[in-house]
Amino acid sequence: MNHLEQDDIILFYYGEAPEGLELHLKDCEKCMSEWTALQRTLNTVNGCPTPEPSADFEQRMWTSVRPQLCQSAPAPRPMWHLMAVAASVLLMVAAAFVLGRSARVPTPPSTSASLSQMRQQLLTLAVGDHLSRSEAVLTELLNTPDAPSTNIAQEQARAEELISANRIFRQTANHAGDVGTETILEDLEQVLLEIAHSPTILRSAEWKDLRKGIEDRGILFKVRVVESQMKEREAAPPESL
Amino acid sequence: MADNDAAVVATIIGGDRDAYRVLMDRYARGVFRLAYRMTGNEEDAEEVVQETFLRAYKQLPRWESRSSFSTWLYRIAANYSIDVARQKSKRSETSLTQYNDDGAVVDISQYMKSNEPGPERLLDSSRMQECVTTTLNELSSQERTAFVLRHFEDQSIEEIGTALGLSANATKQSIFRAVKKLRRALEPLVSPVKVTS
Repeated sequence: MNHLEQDDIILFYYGEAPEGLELHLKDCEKCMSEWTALQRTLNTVNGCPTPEPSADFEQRMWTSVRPQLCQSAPAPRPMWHLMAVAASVLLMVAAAFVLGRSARVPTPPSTSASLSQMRQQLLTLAVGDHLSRSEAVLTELLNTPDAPSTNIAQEQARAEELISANRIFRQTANHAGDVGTETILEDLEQVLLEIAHSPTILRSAEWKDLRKGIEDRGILFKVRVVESQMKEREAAPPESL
Repeated sequence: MADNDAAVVATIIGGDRDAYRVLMDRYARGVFRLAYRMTGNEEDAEEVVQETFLRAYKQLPRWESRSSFSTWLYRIAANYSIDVARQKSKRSETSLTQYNDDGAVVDISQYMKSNEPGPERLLDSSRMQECVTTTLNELSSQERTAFVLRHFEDQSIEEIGTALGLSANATKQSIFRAVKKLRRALEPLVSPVKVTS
């Protein structure tokens, strides 16, 4: 029988060992003895107390830190990504607006209608793409298998990016009077915020809570429905003016 | 709590500096415990607490809620603790000789070299603590940080790697080395006494 490496047993102690190791430990007296010795040693380390700071500790720390806060304002957050998303949407809306104004001077009713239609199409295209990307994140997240700990750092980073874009699209939908799109974007934003604000490493129970929260809202289903409706709108021939 | 922290951070960024007191009240003791385990003394640990909160304040808008506020804060504390530990190690060489509460010299190397545990040593928990402290002091700053974050703060290998700028494998190796050193030092003290008839 091949015995376990000490490194594997250390990982097992911290709950990060590969599967199947526990079965081996049950069957192997030598490895079990090694495991027991390691456990005993590391549990001893737990038993070493750290001194407890005095009751006024927080007050002392605050008194010391507070005057220095005045001298150092929080550094601004890098905004390049948000700016890029905002710029593209604003460009889209501005283009439609400028065209609308220039067309307003001698405004034949048909031109005005076509500009409104154009705005709607631009919004549909941009939001459709946004929903596809959101759907990909949600699907990946919901398909992540249950484990003692789940790292969602990547999904959180993508959710953060989507939140910025989502806010702009939601406001644009609001200005355009597109209530349906605005509502789905509102729901989506709540879910994205929930993902972004969760701990990066989720324990099994936390992970289940997050997944249940997403599933209960039925957001993935709603996103898919709206996405397919938008695809239909994109594919539909322009209405005769 | 995470949502709550986000709301407090938003308030601070909005200009209410005094709201930072809420986060300090919430996490200063946790940061102190981490810093104490990293630096090994209260004075340094308090310095780490103050500097951690100052650094965190300056970087608040960069937190971005990607991780929990405490994880992010502990990462700052761990990195600053490494700086403090490095400065200290430059100033003084570590020695196996320690002083107990009575000021008497305790040479813990006798425990580390011996493989024959005696019952009197098993019962002496204060010496055990000294031995743990000394062994932790002898770890490299990387080994110590990786071990403290894994063992006491329950952070994953991936999180620790991110905090220390190490690959997952390098992080594991640091933890393995730390645990092996602790075993070498402590096992003679904690192994059950074999009674021979």
